[in-house]
Amino acid sequence: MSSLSTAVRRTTLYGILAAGALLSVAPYLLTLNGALKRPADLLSTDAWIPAHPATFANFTAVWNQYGMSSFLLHTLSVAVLVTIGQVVFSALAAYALARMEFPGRDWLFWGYLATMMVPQMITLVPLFLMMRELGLVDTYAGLILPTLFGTPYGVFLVRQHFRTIPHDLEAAARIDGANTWTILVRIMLPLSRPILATLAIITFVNTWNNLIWPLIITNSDRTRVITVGISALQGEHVSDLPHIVLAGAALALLPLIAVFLLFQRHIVRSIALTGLK
Amino acid sequence: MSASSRRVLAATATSALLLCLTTACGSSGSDTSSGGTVTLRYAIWDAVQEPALQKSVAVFEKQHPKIKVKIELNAWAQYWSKLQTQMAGRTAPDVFWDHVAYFPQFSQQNVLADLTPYIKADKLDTSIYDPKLLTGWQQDGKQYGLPKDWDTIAQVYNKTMLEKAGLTQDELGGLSWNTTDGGSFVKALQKLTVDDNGKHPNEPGFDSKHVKQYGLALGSANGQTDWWDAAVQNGCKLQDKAWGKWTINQPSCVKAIQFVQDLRLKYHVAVPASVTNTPNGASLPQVMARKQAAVVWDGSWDLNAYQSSMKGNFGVAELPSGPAGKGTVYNGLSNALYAGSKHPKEAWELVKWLGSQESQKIIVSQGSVWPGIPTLNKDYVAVWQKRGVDVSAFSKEAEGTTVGYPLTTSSATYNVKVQDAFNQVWLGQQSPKAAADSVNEESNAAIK
Repeated sequence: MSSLSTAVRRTTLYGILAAGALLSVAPYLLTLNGALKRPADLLSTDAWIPAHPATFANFTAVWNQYGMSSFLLHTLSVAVLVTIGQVVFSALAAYALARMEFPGRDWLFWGYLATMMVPQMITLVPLFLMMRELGLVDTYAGLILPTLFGTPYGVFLVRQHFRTIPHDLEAAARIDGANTWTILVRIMLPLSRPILATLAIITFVNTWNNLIWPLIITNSDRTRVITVGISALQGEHVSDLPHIVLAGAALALLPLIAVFLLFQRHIVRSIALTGLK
Repeated sequence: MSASSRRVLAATATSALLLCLTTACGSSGSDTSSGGTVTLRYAIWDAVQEPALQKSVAVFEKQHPKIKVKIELNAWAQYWSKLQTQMAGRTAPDVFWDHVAYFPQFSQQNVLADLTPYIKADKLDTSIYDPKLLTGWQQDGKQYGLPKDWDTIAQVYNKTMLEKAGLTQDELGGLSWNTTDGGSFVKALQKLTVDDNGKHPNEPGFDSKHVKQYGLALGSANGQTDWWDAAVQNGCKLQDKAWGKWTINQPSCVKAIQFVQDLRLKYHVAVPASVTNTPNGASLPQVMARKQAAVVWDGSWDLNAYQSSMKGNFGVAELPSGPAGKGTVYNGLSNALYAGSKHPKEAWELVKWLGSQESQKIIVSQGSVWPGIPTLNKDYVAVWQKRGVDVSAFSKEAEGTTVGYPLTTSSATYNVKVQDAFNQVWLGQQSPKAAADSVNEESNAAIK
C-alpha cells in the first residue's frame, strides 16, 4: 500500500518536473528546429514539425550576408569587458560596504541599492544625453561605460556574501600583518569564488541579451551587437526573413550555452552555499 | 593615496565632467565632417529594402563626391522609440523614413524640416507625385517630406484553391457585398469554405467547428487591412476631415464593422478571430502558407512574404465593392528631413535624390514597394510579371476611390484602444456599435 502511494507520488512529481522541463526547454528546441527549416516550410508547417529536409543554408546566409559574424564579435568583446569590470568593481565596492567603517556607509549602500527600483526606461534618455555630451554616441565606450563599474544588484550580491565570512579570519590575517588589500585578495576573494562566478555569468548573459541600450546608443554596423542585428531583420507587419531571424537567434544562443557549461559547477555551489545559511 | 590627494582627484574629475557637460566636449559621434566631406545618416526600418537603397545611395555618392551616406537599419518595433530618443538628444538621423501614424506628432514637435523653401529654390517639379500622396505630407501649406512609396490593400488568393472552386481572378475582383444577404462576395467565399466532410457553409449539415479551409482570412492591428476598407466601401469616413475628429461610430461605419464580424460569426466564411487576432495571432502570409484560407485582404508590402512561402501559386485581385462602391486604404511613406540636421543642404540633396525618377527606378526593380512616382508603376508591375504574378490590382485600386491613412495627433491612443476593442468584436464579445463608440470617444479625447 505504502509502496504504491510512493509510486504514485513519484510519478506525479516526475510528471510535473517533466512538464516544467519541457516548458523551459521547448522554446530553444523550437528555435533550433525552425532555423533548420527551408524558408518555404517555415511558414507552412507548424513549429513542432521536425525540419525535414533540414538545411544549414539559413546559417550560412545569416553568417555571410547579414554580417552576424562581426556582430557576434562585437557582442563578445562588449560582454567580456563589462563582465570583467563588474566583477572587479563590484568586489571592491562590496568589500568597502561590507567591512570598512566610514560615516554614512549604510545610507550610501541602501541609497545605491534603491536605484535598482528605478526602471531602466526612466534613466534611458538622461543616460543617452550624458553619453552624447561626452561624445560617446556610437562608440564602444558608450556601450560599455554605463554598466562597467558595477550595478546595485552585483554589489548587493557580493556584499551579502562577504558578510557571511567570519570576522575572525580577517582579524587573524591582520595579526599576521596583512593590510586591507591583502585581506581582500588573499582571503575574501578566494572564499567568494562561487558568488563571483555567479555574478560573472549573470552579467555576461544580461549584457549579451541587452537590446534597448545598444539599440539607442549605437548607429552603425561598426558597433552593432547581435541583439540589435537580429531585431533589425524583423519587418513592420511581418518579417520577410523569419528563417534568417531564427538562424540568427540560434547562433546567438551558442556562446551563452558555452559560458553556462563553463561556470555551472560554481553556480550550483553558490546555490548550495546559500542553502546552508 | 592620502586623503587630500584623493579629494583633489575627485574635484578634478568632477570639474572635468562639468566642463564637458557645459561645453559639449567631444564630437557627437555623428555628423563627422572631415576634409569637406559630410556624412549623412539615413534611418530606415525594412531589411528587405536595404539592398536596393544601398544601390541608390551608391549612385548618389558618385554624383556628390563630398557627401557620404550611412544607412541605419532598425526594425519597426524599435525604430520609433530609438528615433524619439535621438530626437530628445538632438542627434536624430539627417534623413529618415516617416509614417503617417507618426507624422502629425512630429510636425507638432517641430522636428521635421519644411521642404517648401528648398523645393522653391531648386524649382523642383512636384507634379510627378500623385497629389494624394504629396498633400498627405503637408500641414498648413508646409511640405514635410517627399513621397517614397505607396501601398493599397487587395485580395491575395491561392491559385489552386480558386481554380478548384471554379472562380477566376476577374470574378474575384468583381464581387460585391451588402449588409442584407452578403451579396456575391459572401457566395463566392461560401464556395471557397469547406468543412472536414466537404460541405460548404450554405449547405445543411455544415460543421462550423471543423472547417478545413476558409474562404477568407482577415487580420489587422488598426483596421488598415480589414474594416477600414469595408468602411470606405460602405461610404463611411473615418475622420470628418484631415487632422480632424474621428467619426468611426456613424451608422455607415458601424454597419461595415458589423459586416466584417458577420463574415466570421454569421456566415462562417472567415478564419476565426482566435487564430488571426493581433498581435499574437498568425500573420496573414502564415495563414495562407498553411492553406487555412483561400483569400486574404493584405497590403502590397507583404508581396515578398507570399512569394517566399507560396512561390508563384498566388494572385492578386481587387477588393470587392460594397454598397457605396469600391474602395481601399491608400497610404505611403516619405523621406523626411530632420529639422536639427547639421547639414540641411546636403540632407536635402539626399531627400531630393531619393524622391527622383532615377532613384525610384532603382528601388522599383527590387519589387518590394510601389514607387512614389505613379509613372513608374508599370515598371513595378513588370518586375512582378517576371515573377509570374499580376499585381496591377493594387494600382487600379489606387486610381479609384481611396481613403488616406487617418491624419491625427491621436494615432498612438487610437492604435492602443482599437486593437483591444476590435479583437473583442471579432470574437463576438462586444458589439460593433459599443466598440466604435468607445474607441471614437477615447481617440477624440486624445487629439491635441
